[in-house]
Amino acid sequence: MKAVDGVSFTVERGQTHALVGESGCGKSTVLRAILRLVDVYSGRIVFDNVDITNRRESDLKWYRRRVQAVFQNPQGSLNPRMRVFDIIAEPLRLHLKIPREEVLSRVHELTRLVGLPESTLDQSPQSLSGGQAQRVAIARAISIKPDLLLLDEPTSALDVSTQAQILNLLLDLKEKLNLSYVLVTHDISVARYMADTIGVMYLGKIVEKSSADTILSEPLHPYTKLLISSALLLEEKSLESTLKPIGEPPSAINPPPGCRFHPRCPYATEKCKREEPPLVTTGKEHFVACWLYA
Amino acid sequence: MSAGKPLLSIRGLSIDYYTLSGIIHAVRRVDLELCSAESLCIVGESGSGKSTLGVALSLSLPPNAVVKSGSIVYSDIDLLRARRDVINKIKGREITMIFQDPLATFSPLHTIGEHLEDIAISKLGVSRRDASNIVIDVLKKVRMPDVDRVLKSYPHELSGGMLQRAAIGAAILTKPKIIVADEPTSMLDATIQAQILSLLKELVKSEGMSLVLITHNLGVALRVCEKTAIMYAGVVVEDGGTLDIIKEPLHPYTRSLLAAIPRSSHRVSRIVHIQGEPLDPRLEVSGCPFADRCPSARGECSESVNYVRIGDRRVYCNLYSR
Repeated sequence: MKAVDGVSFTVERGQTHALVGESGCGKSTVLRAILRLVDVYSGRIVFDNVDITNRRESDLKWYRRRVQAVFQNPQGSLNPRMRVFDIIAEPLRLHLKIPREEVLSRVHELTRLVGLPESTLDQSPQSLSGGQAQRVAIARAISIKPDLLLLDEPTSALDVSTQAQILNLLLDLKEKLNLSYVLVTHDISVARYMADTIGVMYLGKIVEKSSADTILSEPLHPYTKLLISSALLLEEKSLESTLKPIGEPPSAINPPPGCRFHPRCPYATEKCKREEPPLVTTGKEHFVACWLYA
Repeated sequence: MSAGKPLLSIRGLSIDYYTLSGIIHAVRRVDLELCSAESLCIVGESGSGKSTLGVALSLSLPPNAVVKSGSIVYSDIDLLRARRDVINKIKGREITMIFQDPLATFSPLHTIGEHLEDIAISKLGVSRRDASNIVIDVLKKVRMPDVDRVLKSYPHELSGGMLQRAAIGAAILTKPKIIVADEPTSMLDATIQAQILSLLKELVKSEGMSLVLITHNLGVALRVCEKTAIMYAGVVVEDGGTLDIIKEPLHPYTRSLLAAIPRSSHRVSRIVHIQGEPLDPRLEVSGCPFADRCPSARGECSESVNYVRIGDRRVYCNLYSR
């Protein structure tokens, strides 16, 4: 089963690229591939001009220092048997050979940076709120000053108000520390708020890719339009949705022939059912995989 | 508010949970009304008390919950103090519930068909043959694809969206007066969520039911319910027409909630986030629970606040008292 099929994108330094799609589209698998947690069947992952796709683990230590991740479930990614202080200090102790006093001052600096009260340092993760736990995860991820942060649904498990705090924190940190982000989210408004460029994924494929502004203001692919109109936005104009959603996504194990979206697409033609549309550019850095435009 | 007696009347309701870490004041002095064929959305974040309210309405409060004060009156009966046999006639029949996790609704050991037929037989008193026809009808009403296959399927064989359709089917089977739906779509994908919400909205109209929809998402409220109540730390801080509240939020908490939502129409300045954390639910509060985080709070706000009526809206805030 191809979880991810022919996905390509680039992330420039200091930029945020968002992968948007629903469950089963392969976006989290892409992140895992970047982290080299899954094997890559074909294609390349190039970081800072180095092809890391097939390197052995022993050759990747430098890479692991420069690429870190923050996951969806804050409690699930923090060791409940450790104090918050040690959770944040762990990467410092593992990757850098710095003296104890420096670890201490660095951890305190990080807690200030992410807005954690000092009192949390002695606690275990379970006594923290979701927002606080996610701040710990972020502090840990930025502790060794990575270049790239992978964010897998970093706020989906949080309340609206907490989400706002954490998203703004991530934006601040990006500027302060000159970070780049790859953000995976099912929420297109979060993608819009955070990202410079967006890739929309469906059943393992990128169906549309462009700047965040363009994707939201001039979506081309019928699935992108469906996603936007389903997004329950608060703008009044979105109340009259332009597309009536039909059906459910098919199984990723047995994707339909031709364009994977054709069973749910109101514009599907015979060609769509037979042939997969290639990702083509419509000029202006806007790519779409759809026979309406190819 | 439509003229005439409301279908459901919640008055001065306070519910506590007794837990190992203390007494949680989950719902504080709530007054709300629901009329026939009306849909009301209860919006709040975690700790707001919305789910406890939903559980109370569907007559499923757990043993460690204590109704400190107040009443829920339906059809001249106080649901919180009625006899067991009276409650059993109402629960699951006149008032039904849809849960957030579709898997929680269904027994893993029974097919969907068996589950639905059992409801028809036990709650409507019909024969198995009649039950079978009623169930097929209901599945058609919820626009279930592949009805024959679904009837014979076990819950784990169906997708979240289809299960939730079946759950809606189970909820409307007895032609209830009120459906209480607690975050019915938050575990579903965006495109499926949109389908299920529009189904709920249509059914409520066509079946003439009332709906209490509990959600953290104002976008859901806007699409489904004509009326909304905003809850914070157990208190209803504002209620009224959904569109009114979204266009012109009155309570500072509602304003902060709206300001915290990323809008996708334009990437303007930052979304605004409020500092601090929600109120510890073990604390008693005689005034407004939002006072310690409120940018407009005055000295007396945490001690004393009154509800102010503005047209058919209501807000719990000293900013509006005369």
